[in-house]
Amino acid sequence: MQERIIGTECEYALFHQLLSLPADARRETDKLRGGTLIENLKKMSALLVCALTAMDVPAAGEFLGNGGRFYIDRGSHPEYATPECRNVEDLIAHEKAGDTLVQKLVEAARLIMEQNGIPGKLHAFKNNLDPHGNTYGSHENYLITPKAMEEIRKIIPFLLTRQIFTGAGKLAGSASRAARGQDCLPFSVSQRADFIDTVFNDRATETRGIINTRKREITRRDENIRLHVILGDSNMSEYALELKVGTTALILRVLEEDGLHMVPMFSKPVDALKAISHYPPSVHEVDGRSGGYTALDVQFIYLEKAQRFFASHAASPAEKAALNLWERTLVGLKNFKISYRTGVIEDDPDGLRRKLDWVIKLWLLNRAREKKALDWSDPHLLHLDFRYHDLDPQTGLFLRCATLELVDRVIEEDKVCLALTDPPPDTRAWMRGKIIREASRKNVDVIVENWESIKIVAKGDDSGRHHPFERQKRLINGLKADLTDPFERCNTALLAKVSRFIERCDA
Amino acid sequence: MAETRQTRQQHKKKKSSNEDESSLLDATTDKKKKLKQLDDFIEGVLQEAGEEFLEEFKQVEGQ
Repeated sequence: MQERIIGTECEYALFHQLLSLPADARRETDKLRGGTLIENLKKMSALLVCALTAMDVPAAGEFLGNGGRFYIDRGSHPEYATPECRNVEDLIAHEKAGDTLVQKLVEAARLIMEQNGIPGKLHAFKNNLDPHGNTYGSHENYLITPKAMEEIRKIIPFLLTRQIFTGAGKLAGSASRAARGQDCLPFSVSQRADFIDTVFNDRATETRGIINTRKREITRRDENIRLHVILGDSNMSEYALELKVGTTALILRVLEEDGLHMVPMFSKPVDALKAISHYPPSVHEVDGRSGGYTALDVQFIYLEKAQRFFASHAASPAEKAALNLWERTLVGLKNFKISYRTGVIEDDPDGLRRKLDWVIKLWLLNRAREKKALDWSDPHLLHLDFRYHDLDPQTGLFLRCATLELVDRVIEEDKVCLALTDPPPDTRAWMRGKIIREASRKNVDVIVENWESIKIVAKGDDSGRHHPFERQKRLINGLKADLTDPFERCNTALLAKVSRFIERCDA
Repeated sequence: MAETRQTRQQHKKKKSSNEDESSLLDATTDKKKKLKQLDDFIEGVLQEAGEEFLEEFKQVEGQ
């Protein structure tokens, strides 16, 4: 499949900060808050939903005028799912637009809090764990062929080793530091690796797999299937995001069209995943081969297979760019020197400290340690680690680096701004977004049942008279728009029908 | 004539070299300024509570 539908979903963490209040006010607020953690998080996330309405963002339920979806997921985590994208550039723009939207909602929610006398300040974090061992996800979706899904095991070594360039990094907790010993860097490359328990699982909580199988489409035979990957970290860096999605899309194409033969399968993949996160140069057994392999070795093997494939198959400009980026990054990682005893970056000739989240973060933490003579176990350092992911440009560490041009961008801000309001022009998201925006402020209700189906019904009669079959009358007088083909750009006939229906209802 | 041309070329080379050095200096100064701003920002974060933030930043398990 040369063109592929891709999308990501990101769970954010809401943080109701009371630190800025004087101590006696905080004591009072704790008393007034009264509820449990989940009750408070529910209240905070409800404020975001209010903010969405107050800001008049075109929406039909959870689905937005830009084709994406915003909702409150399990654990009261606000979640943004990008619309279906056909290329990596659009995907990056839409994921970053999601970050921007969530921050705008937080800022609007702060105003609502102020107006209602709710003390403290709300923040949203784009990361995957809190200091207490709770995790939340960043998921990827790739449309693949049924044949590829049957052989999907062949990409597992790729997925679990790609953390060396996709990892968001984290300081190890005290228990983990004790387990690693004093001479081992208490910093992990990946945030999520420690929470993965198995290779495949149909659950996304408690027992998590590298690949989640529950959400596979099973109803349509011989039609493409959604691959749902849940082990990835949330990326602040656009460069890391481009690598994560771009390289995975490349490998999926090789798998679909060439079979991806003779890949190094780890004997113990989940153990390898965690060990690589704790110590990237760790060596692991591979089935049927002698000697051990590091994560970088495995990545070079996959890169070579992709390069050989594209030497005899046409590559789109985006695929060529992803291949080059992948190679440059792996070479950069090969040249990258770090002392795993002290955590100091000794050599970084390819400037990974501007590109990869875990390297940027480590560089920042080292900077703080040097200036303030902090020990790795200092809680202020852990605070800095979390602040890296704060979406508020005033308080977020990554965003401050971005403002100061200390990190690389891969996409123009204009594209991100456009993605806030406009869907990608070349998938069914365009139709969905267009219908939602057109129906906005008209005398119709748009009911987006799922990613594939939209119903438009005339608004109910609000004259005060109640018809006993009002609901049925509305549904019969409604129009259904099926968007079953994710590749369908624009169905002109359907759009015309929808427009005529909306005009009639609005007359 | 040749000598004049040579002198002219030397002047041009020297001027271009000076411009390069000047740009490099500007870039280095600019970088230093940005790093100073970053360090000030980090200082601000570090001055905020450490343990209290970690205690307050609690989430419920997501997916």
